[in-house]
Amino acid sequence: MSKILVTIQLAFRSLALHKLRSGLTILGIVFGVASVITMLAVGEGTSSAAQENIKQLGSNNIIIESVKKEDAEGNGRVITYGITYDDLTRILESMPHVTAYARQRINDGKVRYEGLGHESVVIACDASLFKVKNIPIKKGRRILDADIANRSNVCVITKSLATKLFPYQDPLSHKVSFDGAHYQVVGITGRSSSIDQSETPKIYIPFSTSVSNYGELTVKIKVGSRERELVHIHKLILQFSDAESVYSAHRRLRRIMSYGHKTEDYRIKVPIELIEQAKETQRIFSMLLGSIAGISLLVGGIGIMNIMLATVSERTKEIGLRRAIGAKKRDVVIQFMTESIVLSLVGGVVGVLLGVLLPFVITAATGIEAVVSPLSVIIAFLISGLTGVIFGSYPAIKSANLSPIEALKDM
Amino acid sequence: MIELQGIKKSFAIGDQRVHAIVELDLTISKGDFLAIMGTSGSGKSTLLNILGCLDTPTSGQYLIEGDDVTSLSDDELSELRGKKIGFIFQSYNLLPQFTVLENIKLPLLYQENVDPEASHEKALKLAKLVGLAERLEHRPYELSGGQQQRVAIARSLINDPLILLADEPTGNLDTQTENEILNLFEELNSQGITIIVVTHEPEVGDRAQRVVTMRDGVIISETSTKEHE
Repeated sequence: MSKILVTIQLAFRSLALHKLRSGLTILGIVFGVASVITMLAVGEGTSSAAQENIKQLGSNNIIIESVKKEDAEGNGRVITYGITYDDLTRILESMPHVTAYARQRINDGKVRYEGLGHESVVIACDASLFKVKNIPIKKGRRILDADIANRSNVCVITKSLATKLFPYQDPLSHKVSFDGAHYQVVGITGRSSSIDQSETPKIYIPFSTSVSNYGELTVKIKVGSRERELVHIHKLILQFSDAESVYSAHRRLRRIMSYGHKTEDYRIKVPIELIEQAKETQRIFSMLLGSIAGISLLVGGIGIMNIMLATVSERTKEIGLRRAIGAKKRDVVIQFMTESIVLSLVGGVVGVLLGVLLPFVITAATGIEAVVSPLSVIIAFLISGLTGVIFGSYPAIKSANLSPIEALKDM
Repeated sequence: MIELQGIKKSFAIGDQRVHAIVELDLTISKGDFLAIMGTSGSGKSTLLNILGCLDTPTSGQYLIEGDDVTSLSDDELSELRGKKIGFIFQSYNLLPQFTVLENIKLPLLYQENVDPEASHEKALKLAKLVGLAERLEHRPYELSGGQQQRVAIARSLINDPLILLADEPTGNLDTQTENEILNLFEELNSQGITIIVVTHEPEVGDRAQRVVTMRDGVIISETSTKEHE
């Protein structure tokens, strides 16, 4: 044991003799290791951000969205498409595994309070939406089943909309208006995730209230034309008890939905499948980033080999001397291997420190999420050590195979 | 103690075989101070390599304390060199990354079961013997040529070798320093240490008890300047 320590200590002494050269060689490994860790951290971070976004959709949910086709059928000048009430009835009748559902009708509108107005997304929804989507309420209350039953003129607004319309006062119990109706603010939503940094202003109103205030028709005013659409449900979220039921429900749902739709004017989203796709994408992305970083580690390794070869030819006499005073070939191999492993491991340690630090800098500077996984640190460090072994072995063996006579003659 | 019998050494250079040592017999006794002289190409360097177990003869016997070493493996030869032979070179061959004391102790690195305390004491004693007790922490490049050679001599003695092999030990030194080194050799020899010096300088040969002169791979003359028993 002490012999190993002595060998390592002597390696440091030899390397210290050429500080600049050793330093530059180490630098190659430092950047290699740091970039492996950083690249993997960025890969991991971006994908976990993506997965987080998908998870918000709810992993036990299936989402059906109405899609307007180019050739959507018009009855007169009203365009009809998307999910209908009949679709929902059929789904609920034939799929007992649905534990909850939430209809949404989504439009844009200008929401006003006294002198202020702000464009926002108007979501007419069932009370269950807040549970199904896990929308957190920061203040006040959510929309309740009673609101749906009574067709109350109440609304829940997002924090982002609240700050726009009520810069100086508490919005609760004040009435905002849009499209000719007034709605009492009963609740404010909190931020649903740390990733969703710039939250879109939204206002939630009871589904039934929307239907009684505006009817089933949506009028979209575009430049030079008015477009009337008949869409029962823009977005339907079905919640299931567990992931298993989601998988089995997916195919049946396709069959049920295709019934009564000539064209596929809807889209079925299964978050849990998206999560798996995202994971697969992440794996490929991480591998790509990792191999790019691996190349820089390879370059660092070649740097070590280069320096060790130079060292060996420069220290031929030393090798000859050591052989003369009793060093076996093995001793010479061990000596030069130790030197190259010391180089690469010192580079590995510094590289790990840099690699752990750098992702924080990247996150702070660019906002790109970066997550350093302990495994990537361990792997990068082991690879750096392995680099020393692989790229140090050729110079070491070459040095040991020098004939002592020839080595000593080189004076 | 050391016996060379019918030693031949030839090298293949291209298609030709060059006979570096044609035929040679030599006996070295304990306490000898032997100078091997000759011009370059006389075979004296080849003889030195064989004596130092750095090379093996093509044929013949090389007995060290009665054991034939001509058929030993590379590892065994290394071990033998470490234990029985102390080398001194023309260009000193000290390692710049180590201090004087560490250079003296260097051969111990390749010995097993070294007592650190005892070997430290021994290194200090040897440094004192060669007159460098005050320079233990200096680096080789901070020393003069003569001082460096003294370090090398101390290093060659650390394992209590059977023989000291010196290859042109004063070749890089001025006359005064050369004398000091040769005085040191005489002093060591008077303490019973066997010394073999390979040189082409007559003044070095003058200090030795025995002078063997080589030419074209054979010993052409052998003289004893001093009697010894």
